[in-house]
Amino acid sequence: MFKINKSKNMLQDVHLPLFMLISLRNMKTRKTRTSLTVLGIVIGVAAIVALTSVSEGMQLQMTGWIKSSMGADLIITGTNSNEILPESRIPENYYEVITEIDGVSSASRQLYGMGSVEKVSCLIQGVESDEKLNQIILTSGSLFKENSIDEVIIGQKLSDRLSVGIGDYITITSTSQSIKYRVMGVFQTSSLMMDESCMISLKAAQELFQDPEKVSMILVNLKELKDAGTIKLDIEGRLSGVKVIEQKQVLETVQYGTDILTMFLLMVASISMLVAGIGIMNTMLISVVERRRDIGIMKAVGMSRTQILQVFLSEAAMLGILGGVLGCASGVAISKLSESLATSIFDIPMSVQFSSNTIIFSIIFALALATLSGLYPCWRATSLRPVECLRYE
Amino acid sequence: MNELIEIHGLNKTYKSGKLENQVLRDINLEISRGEVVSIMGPSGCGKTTLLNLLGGLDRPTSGSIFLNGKSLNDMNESEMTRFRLRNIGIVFQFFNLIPILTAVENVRLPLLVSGHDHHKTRERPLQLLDQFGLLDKANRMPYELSGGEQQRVAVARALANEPSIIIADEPTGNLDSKTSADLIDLFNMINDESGQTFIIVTHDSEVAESADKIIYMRDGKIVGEESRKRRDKTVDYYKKVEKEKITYLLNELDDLYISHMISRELYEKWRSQYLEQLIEMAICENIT
Repeated sequence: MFKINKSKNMLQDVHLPLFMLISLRNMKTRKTRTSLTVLGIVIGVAAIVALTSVSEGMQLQMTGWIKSSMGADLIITGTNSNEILPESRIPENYYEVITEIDGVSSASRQLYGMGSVEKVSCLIQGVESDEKLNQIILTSGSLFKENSIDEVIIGQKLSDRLSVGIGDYITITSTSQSIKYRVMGVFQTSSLMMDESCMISLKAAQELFQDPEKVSMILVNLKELKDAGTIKLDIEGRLSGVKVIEQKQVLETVQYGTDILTMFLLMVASISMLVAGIGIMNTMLISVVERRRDIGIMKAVGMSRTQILQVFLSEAAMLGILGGVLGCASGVAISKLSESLATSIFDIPMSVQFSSNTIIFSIIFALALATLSGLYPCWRATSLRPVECLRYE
Repeated sequence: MNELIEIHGLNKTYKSGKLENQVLRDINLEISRGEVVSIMGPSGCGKTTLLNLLGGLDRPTSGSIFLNGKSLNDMNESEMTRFRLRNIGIVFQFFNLIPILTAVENVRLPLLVSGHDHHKTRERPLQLLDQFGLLDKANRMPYELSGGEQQRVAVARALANEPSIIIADEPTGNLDSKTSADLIDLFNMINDESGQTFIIVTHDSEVAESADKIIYMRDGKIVGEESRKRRDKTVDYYKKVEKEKITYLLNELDDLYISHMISRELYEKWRSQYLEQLIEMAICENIT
């Protein structure tokens, strides 16, 4: 006689806690406001995820670059040199002193300088043996011959920019003179700066920069990496006017720099998170004021304060989780997009790095933020007496 | 203690800034178990406030209220909530269903809150809605129901936990007279069946008439109390039959006189007797 609808009726069909059902139903009923609040959280979380992954990617790239460009356990440079590009030069014969030291497996000399190739300024590297050359990949052609003074290999980007290829001649101009070289090969590295550089033999570089018997740095590889500290002291004792840099030290310096950058980016992200938090608090306040009457009814029906708090807090928590998950997804999307935009349009080498820590942290952060922002308005609303709630029309 | 509700020296004062407004003045009242009591009085006489205090929705300024022998004053807010959940059902003028829950969910709410087992929370609401003729509308949202239907759902919700007291604040205030009469019949039916105590605040004298006891309030005081035998439907029926009989006899008398079967003198004597009886009955009805 009585037909009961087999229905969408959630309270009847699903065995979920009451408070979750009420808050789910409420979120569904107020779709616009729910989605706006979630949007606020999404923006905050997306900002955190995107900025962190960009800065982590940057950090990885920097350290990778240092490792590839140094390719040595110890670097000996002049005392005035900074840690990345040596400026002052040291006598070439220090090389013999160093190779005699116990524990040194090999060493190579390099001379760096800035020059210009067809009015494009670039880094000119004079390298000695093929040890340094191990860090590059020849995409075409071959290496220059040992001690040749008129052969050059150039980076891929430089080759593209000048549209020169194997067999062409280029003129490199230093502060003192211009010399013509024949392009023997084109190479690629992992770093953009290196891809825009030229490599010639050490002898050719000494001639180009009019600095015979001088080198910018001597790269040292050790038999045992753990001896780095003692060998460093040994070298400093034997030679005057030199600075010995451990690879570890350089990495730390770079790390410090990128850490500052990361902090800055996180600060920016935190501001957007704060804005999202205020958004949630605002929504919860409005929601609580709007539903003051409902709160009065719930109290009159006999729901305890804890039960009513559960209704509102579970709503806030669901907003937080939803926003957190969607925020992570859009953060990943945004950083992937900016990565491809940066490399394809602006020619900036950029790679983003996602860590599960960032993702988990962001979601937990969104959840905590949402719940905490919801706490105050809910607590305030539930502390009223039922009549005070019901009096409002 | 035979009385279900005892109120002694109850005062309630609302403060707003420096203004003090004494809404209730020294109320003393006793209500027995199973009574239907209506509270009447002009707007602002404090009848709703009295009801709110009885339901534990508000706190008195002074005085004491005992329900089932328990003092409401001694309870803190959460004890009060738990007490209300088990012992008091509330029906409001504006129905006050939770708008985002369906009819059956609204009725189910107090059962779920009081932690009944799953089976009971499923069966009882449907059973109540069935009893009130709303089973086919169980899954509608409140806005899809008429005022009378919403109020019946609200009554079902108030009854869900089988409380001993139902308090109703102007339950017919937003209903038309037909629906009001139906609702009051529903109250009386529940009262007859399960002996729950009803306290009904109302403006409507017809609603008040159906009660066992009418309490008249004015300016925060109880100014009169009238116990009465609730109108018996069988008495009504006999009165109606009597009236019809007299009307019939009057018509017969007219016929007899017109056909010259009785004298004018006799006709006038009997006629005045019957009319007297009718007038007497009409006067009686007006008083009650």
